[in-house]
Amino acid sequence: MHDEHHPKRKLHGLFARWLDSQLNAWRKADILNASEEERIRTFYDWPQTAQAKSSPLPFIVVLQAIGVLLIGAGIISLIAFNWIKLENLAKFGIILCGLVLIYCTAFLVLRRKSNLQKTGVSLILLGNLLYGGGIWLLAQMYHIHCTFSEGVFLWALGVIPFAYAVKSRLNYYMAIALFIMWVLAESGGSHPPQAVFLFIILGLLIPLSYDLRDKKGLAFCIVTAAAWLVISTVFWFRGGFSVEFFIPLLLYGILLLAVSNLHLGPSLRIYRGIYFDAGVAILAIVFFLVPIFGALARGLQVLMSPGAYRSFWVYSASLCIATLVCRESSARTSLDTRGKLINRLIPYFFVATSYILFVPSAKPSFLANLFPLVLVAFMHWHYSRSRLLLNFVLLYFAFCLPASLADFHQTLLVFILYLICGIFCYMLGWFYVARFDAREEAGLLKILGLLLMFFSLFIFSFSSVAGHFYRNFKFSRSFDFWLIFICFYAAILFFRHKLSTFVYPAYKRGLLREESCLISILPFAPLMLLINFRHHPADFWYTFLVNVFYLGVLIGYITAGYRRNQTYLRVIAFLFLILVVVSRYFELEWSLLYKAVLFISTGVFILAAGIIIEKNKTKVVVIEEE
Amino acid sequence: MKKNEYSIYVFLAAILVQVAVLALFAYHKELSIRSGTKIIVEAIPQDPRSIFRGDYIRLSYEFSQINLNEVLHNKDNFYRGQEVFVKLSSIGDNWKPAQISDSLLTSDKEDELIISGVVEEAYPGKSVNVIYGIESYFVPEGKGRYLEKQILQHNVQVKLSIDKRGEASVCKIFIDGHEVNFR
Repeated sequence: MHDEHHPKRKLHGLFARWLDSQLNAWRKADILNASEEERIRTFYDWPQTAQAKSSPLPFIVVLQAIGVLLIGAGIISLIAFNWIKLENLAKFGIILCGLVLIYCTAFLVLRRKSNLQKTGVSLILLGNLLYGGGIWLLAQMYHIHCTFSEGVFLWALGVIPFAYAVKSRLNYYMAIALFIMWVLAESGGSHPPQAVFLFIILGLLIPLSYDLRDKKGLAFCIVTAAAWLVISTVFWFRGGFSVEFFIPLLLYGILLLAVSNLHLGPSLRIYRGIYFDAGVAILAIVFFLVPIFGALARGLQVLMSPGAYRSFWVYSASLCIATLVCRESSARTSLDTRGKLINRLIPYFFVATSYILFVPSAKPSFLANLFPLVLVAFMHWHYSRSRLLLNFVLLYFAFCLPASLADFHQTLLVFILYLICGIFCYMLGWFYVARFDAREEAGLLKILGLLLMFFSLFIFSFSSVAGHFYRNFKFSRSFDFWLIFICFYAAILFFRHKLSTFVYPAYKRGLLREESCLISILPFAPLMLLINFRHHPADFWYTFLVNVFYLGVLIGYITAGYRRNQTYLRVIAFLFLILVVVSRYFELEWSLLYKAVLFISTGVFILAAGIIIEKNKTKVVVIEEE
Repeated sequence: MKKNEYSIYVFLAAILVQVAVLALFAYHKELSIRSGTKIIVEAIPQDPRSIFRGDYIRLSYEFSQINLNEVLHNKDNFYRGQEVFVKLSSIGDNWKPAQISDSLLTSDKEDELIISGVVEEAYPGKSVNVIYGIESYFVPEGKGRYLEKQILQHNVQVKLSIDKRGEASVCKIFIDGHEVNFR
């Protein structure tokens, strides 16, 4: 039993919040009763903030904030009404007196009325709204054609000191809302966005986020700063689009990762994830967009002016220097595995960024745009031995590369590539199972591979589409097309070879007989389709055989799905089965006779399969549970 | 939040920041208007609305769109967002642009004035659209539309005040030589 006189154990913020949430969960699950929970709670010395954090914004605060916002909206409307009867000095005096009066009342309430603390904070919020109204009133009085952003900036600048003064999250959130409004308004201004204004607001808001231990607010600040960077870059690149557009954003993402390494101390660790997640998200978006927009690269000449050119380099250099400083600072501390990985990858991020910036815009091949992505993914795997990023990159290639090479006169080739990529993803999934027993990774790859594969075959199953493909067919002269084709096809043949012996029941997780059969046949489908379109018209026999083949594949996977008790496999294959049957039924180019032959033969086939499964019900094995 | 947690000094400083921003804003504009040279220029109005400030007439001037072939200029390529200085010359009753530059211009002549602005749109070697911060004239609610009808049929002039740094402010608006007064 806990001795009441024994000094209580002090809890740190992170543990306090964790224990608080756990106690609530245990209580709900009836693991603890009320008295036991109370005893545990009294055993520790809880930090004051931990209790407050558990309820983000109390109802009273929300209610009062709504009231204050309504009054504020009324004040702003009153100003917009333009009370022309009053002299400028009188209008200004009313605003100033109103401000001082509200703030004095708020201060007195906060100091003297302990039961009206929330009202005091709401009064400050009202004062902040009146202050904003005052800015617009002055602009109105002097007929200033100021842009929206300048006014919002001044508003935010006046609100932040109050957030510091009362440490109120209501004021803090208002300051963040104004920060977001300012950044959005910057996109419509005539003046170039000024970094110094951003630094002033961030320099005030970020320390406040730490002070209030508000992770959400910090995340908003980081993301809004990224939005500002995008807006200012758009301003510079007004003359046209270039892949270099992404450079400052890319460098910002790298900086965030470097900053995350500075958050390893016990009190700072809770913020680390925000910087890390934001950095990873920004880098992922940029690296995945660069190849798509790489084709549009036109170089820095599209920067609209010498001023913009200077800003571009100043921003980029500042971000690089800040990243290097953070990296050096964190290198002196004892980093964990993730921290070490980030520090190791930073130079490669810079190489990738430099490549995007300096390699001439007229790249010899579209695939040259993939270098930064491949470099980063490979180095990530090299240092971490994690295949996560590599898998993402492979999936990205499978989904985006065929579309990136799209030639709308030769759509056949795009779908041939999609078919190959689908087979590749599916077989890569099986390879992961066979080689590494990595079933989670494999599951995602197999699902996406099946979707690509089924979708491509679905397209090929239309007689009208096939006719279009046949009429416009010619072998691609694109180097990129054949490089992708050969690389993916070689990988498929490699996997086919490796998986040929990975068969159930020799291997517990091995391929079923129908899957093994499909994996042997599927690699030939793209080649057969290419050869067919080269030599034969898309006649009845083409459509009939392709549909039979497609239905056979779908039925094969439905059977495998039942035997494995894998819902995703059954559902995907079944949905495409319905899709193909409905499409064929309503396809006007096909005569009713052909439809009848196809449906009857497929129906008989399915019925036979069903009977066989039914007869051998006892032999049907559930190989893996989901 | 605990009672007495707030420091009066921090609180006062926060109030001071807001009061100072508003007071400096007003003082700066008032000083600029009082010390500036007053001129009357022709204007071409429009009628939009600001969500915070109510109805206003959007004004455009002869020197808002500067034809580079008609004025002196120190460069052909101005860019959006660039600060520029425009020399206005008095020709008869009107003021027309005579020179544009991205560096500070000076003039001692009585019939010349320097006004500063920001490039809104630039067409290299052809023309530059400049905004001077005097493109708005706020009116009481509902008067914007009435004025719009009036000014389309009449001559509109605006009294400007331009201080020695080239900062301009709108003082009054005239329709056919009569001051528009909403009181």
